[in-house]
Amino acid sequence: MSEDLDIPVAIAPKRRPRNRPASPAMRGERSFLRSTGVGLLWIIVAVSIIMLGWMVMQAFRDTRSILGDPWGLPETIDFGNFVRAWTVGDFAQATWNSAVTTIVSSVLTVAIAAPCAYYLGRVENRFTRSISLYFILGLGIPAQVILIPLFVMLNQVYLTDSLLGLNLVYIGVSMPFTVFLLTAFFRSLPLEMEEAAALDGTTAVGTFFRITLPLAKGGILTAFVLQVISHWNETLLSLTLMQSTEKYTLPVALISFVQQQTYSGADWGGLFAGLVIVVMPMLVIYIWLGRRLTEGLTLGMGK
Amino acid sequence: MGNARIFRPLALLLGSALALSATACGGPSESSAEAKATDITSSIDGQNLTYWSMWKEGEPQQKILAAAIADFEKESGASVKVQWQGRSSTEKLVPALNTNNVPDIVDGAFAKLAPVIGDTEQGLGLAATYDATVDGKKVSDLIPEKYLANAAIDGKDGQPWMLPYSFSSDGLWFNQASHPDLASAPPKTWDEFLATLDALKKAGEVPLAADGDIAGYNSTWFITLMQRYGGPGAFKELAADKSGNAWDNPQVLEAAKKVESLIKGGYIINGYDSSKWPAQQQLWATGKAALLLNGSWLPTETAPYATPGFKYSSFQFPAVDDKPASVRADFVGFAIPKKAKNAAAAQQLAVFMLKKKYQDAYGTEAKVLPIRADAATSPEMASIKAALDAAPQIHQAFDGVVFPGYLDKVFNPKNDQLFLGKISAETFVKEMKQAQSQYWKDNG
Amino acid sequence: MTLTPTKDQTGVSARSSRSTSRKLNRAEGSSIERQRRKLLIPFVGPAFLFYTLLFVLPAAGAMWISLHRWSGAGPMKFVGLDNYFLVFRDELFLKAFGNTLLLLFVVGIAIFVIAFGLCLILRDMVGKKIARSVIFFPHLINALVFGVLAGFIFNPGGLVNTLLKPFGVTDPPKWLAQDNLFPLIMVTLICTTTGYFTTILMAGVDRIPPYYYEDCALAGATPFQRLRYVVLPLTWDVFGTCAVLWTISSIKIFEVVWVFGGSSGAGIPPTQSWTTAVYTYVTAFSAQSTPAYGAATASAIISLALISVLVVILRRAMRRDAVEF
Repeated sequence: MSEDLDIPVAIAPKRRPRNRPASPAMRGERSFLRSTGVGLLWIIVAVSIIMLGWMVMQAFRDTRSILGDPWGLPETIDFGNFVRAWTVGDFAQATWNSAVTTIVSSVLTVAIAAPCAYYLGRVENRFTRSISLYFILGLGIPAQVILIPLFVMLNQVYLTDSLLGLNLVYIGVSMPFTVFLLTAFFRSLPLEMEEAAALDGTTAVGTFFRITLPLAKGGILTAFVLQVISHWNETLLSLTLMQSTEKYTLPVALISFVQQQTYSGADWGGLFAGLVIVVMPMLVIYIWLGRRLTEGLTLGMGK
Repeated sequence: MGNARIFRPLALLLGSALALSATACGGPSESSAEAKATDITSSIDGQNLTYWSMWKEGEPQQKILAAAIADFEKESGASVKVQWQGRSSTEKLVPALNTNNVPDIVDGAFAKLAPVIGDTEQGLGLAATYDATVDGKKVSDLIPEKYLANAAIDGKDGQPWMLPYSFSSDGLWFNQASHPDLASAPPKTWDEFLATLDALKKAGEVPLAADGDIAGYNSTWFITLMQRYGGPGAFKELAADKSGNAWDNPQVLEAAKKVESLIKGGYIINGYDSSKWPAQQQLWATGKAALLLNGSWLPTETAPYATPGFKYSSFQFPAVDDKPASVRADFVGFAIPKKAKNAAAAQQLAVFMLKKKYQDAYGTEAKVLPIRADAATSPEMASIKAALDAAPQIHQAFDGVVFPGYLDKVFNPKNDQLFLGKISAETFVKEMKQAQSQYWKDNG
Repeated sequence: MTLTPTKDQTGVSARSSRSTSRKLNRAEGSSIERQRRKLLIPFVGPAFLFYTLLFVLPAAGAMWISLHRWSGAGPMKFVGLDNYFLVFRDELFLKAFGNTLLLLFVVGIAIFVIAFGLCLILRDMVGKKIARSVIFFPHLINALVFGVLAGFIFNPGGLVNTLLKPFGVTDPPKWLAQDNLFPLIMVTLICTTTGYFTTILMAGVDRIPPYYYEDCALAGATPFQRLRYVVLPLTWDVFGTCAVLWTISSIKIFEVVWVFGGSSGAGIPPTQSWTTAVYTYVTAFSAQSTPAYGAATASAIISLALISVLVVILRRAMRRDAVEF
């Protein structure tokens, strides 16, 4: 019970003084162990950044020189790998599929989950509590459990190998987390404005759309971006449900590209370009919304 | 919110969820396939054909196929929608065959198509295809009888479900430029082979390269040895023994010991057991090892990084006890699912691909082995082609074993351990005997 | 130390304030409350429907399918619990299950120890925000990427070996040998997941009012005592959340294993590195075998059972020690 109450704090963080200087009593405690730890930590940070940079660099080199000197830098900015990955590796279509699926399913997920979460957050009785619990149970079910039945069911309605089907699946499997996250968020919003609106004679629906939603912009954006991240990276379901190359999402195209190397020779340059295409949107989102994300992701994923 | 696009399928889905158990219990409701034994010469103008290819865009074979398909579209008036899926196409085909979205024609190697299409009886009988004519000749006459004899591509209805357009073979590859002696006097028996390895070692060379992470390459040693002892089909017979007692045959242990002797003899390149394909074949192609047991695709694969002046040649897997040695020939070809909606057009396409023009292109441009005996081949294939022509018998990769899960779950993991030097020949045989009898208990 | 353990401290204040406002609300005009209740169908309905149809029903369907022998087409044959017995007899499943347990416990414990250590370092470090942002980022990347990169990093001529060469390591370990793959996967997962859990734990550590540390220091507590009596008890509930999170996510691990080290000829990873998720997928959809939907779902349900048991145990174990502050 205590976890879900943390979430409001996470999404609408109280401004707490951070990085305040340690008090005099503590300053004396900087031990050798600690400075080693700090050193190590910075090494980890540096290595992470170097790896990312290294990956991007390699994407501009050709396979022969990558193999020859894995630490080398590109001599010229050559987009050949990207062009090849884009055309030969089907990454163009896959990127488009991934982008559309991600955006559509994330928007709909939030659009469907938000009213539900609002209701569950505002109306508290035994019934809504059991509904909340019903949603929460889904958080613990791994995707591989529903993989096969989902495949069989979707096939009955011609929704396998279909981006529409994939969108529906993403919406369905995202419900537990999104409802859970947003319920906690709506609970954290003050009631006063809604009450005032109600006194003015606004209907409950009107209150929700005109008062609560604008207030909840931050939380909803967080929920949306979290879905974007998880749908962009989703692999197992898409690998199973999509069979035609023109319906591949990016992770599936990447797997196909990797497996292809067994036969048509290693194309590390093209592969690195593919990796960069997968990683970059996440980096952009992270730089754009970093703090909100960490908080939503870390404290939001409960139970 | 009120998104009709979403909700209609959703309602359908609800219905389907309820129907799931009903249809599942109600037995197969597949449309009867027999009705489709169509006249394949009929006009297919305007039809839309879906083809899932095992090739990826940019590969030499793909270029030939793409050009041929363009010609086909022009001549027939049908349009072909190709998906260059790559080798994982069969993995995608497995689930797809259970759906409503089935391609009209697929291609792949026999070993990949057999468990998916052949054994599950999902492949259309192609008797009519074999009777069709191309370049004025009957299709069945174009494919050498020798290759068809052991092919096991006939379905339960007695019709073949696969039409090959090329095939692959294997051999012990080397660079003729640096080892002319291997070309002029190749080792013929196992003992001569070991002597060759010793000689190479003495000369300061690494005798053998091997990409030990590819189970299919590792198993070629043991399986071919079994075939050398008992002829084509010997390994399949061994694998098909439900009791597992066939592993008690002393020849089996002997074959395993021969594999073991390669590892114990230290002939194989350092690190073969720890690398990732294609690291070791890259080393081989750059002259860091003399020999490599691999498929006829090796020249195509290694050409981009091989030492300049590399001259591909090969000799056949050595014989044991002077028995006649078979040569490997695995079909690569087309199959048509029974559920295909445009089966006639698909068959016409398959036949079209056998035109000499494209077959020659396979041989000379893609440098593979075209199925037609009269098609041209490239110099890289000369040694293999000669062996094939001279061979009394043909065998298949994995000796045609396609029992579901047998290779990937039972045999290959154990054989890997043997080939990577983790277990002895005796342990290998003992464990295989036990694992195989369990396999047949679970899958019999 | 004047800390009094209670059951559910943070909840109490938050909940009481909420119920006060609700009482107020009810007194003033419960019309909005009543109106809101009417929104049940339009507001909750769609989410409920999506979730039920596309998640709960398939999960129930999985139970049903796991009791049958079925290849996806053709008749389903009811075989009772046979699939479960079959799966538990299958060496590959046992290996995969063992691997999943290794991920769950060995990797889990490593992650927690390291994350906790990092937390203590990060707590009042200069540049904390930057460091934390960087180590968190891997969580946003598809694990496929790490799997592919590992292949290049550990290749015989790859990054690691070229780095080791100047140090005189001419015979480096056989990184990508089939038996070494799984340990490498474990290391990779530790490297890429620790940052995420560090960030969560940080949030817990940040909640501790600084004057506690000061009190401690003034009372002459050693850093270890401080850890034992202040930090651990106060972050215990966050630990609980993290443990549950890791349990759930570790059992889903698939991508990184699927492509670890690059391609393999068979299109599926070597059996030594399988997890239960890989086992489920391969059993159902591998081109080398006839699909065995029953056994595949049975193996997935076993994973689900494992999650359920562990989550219940974890929640029992973690609940009682929350501390008020």
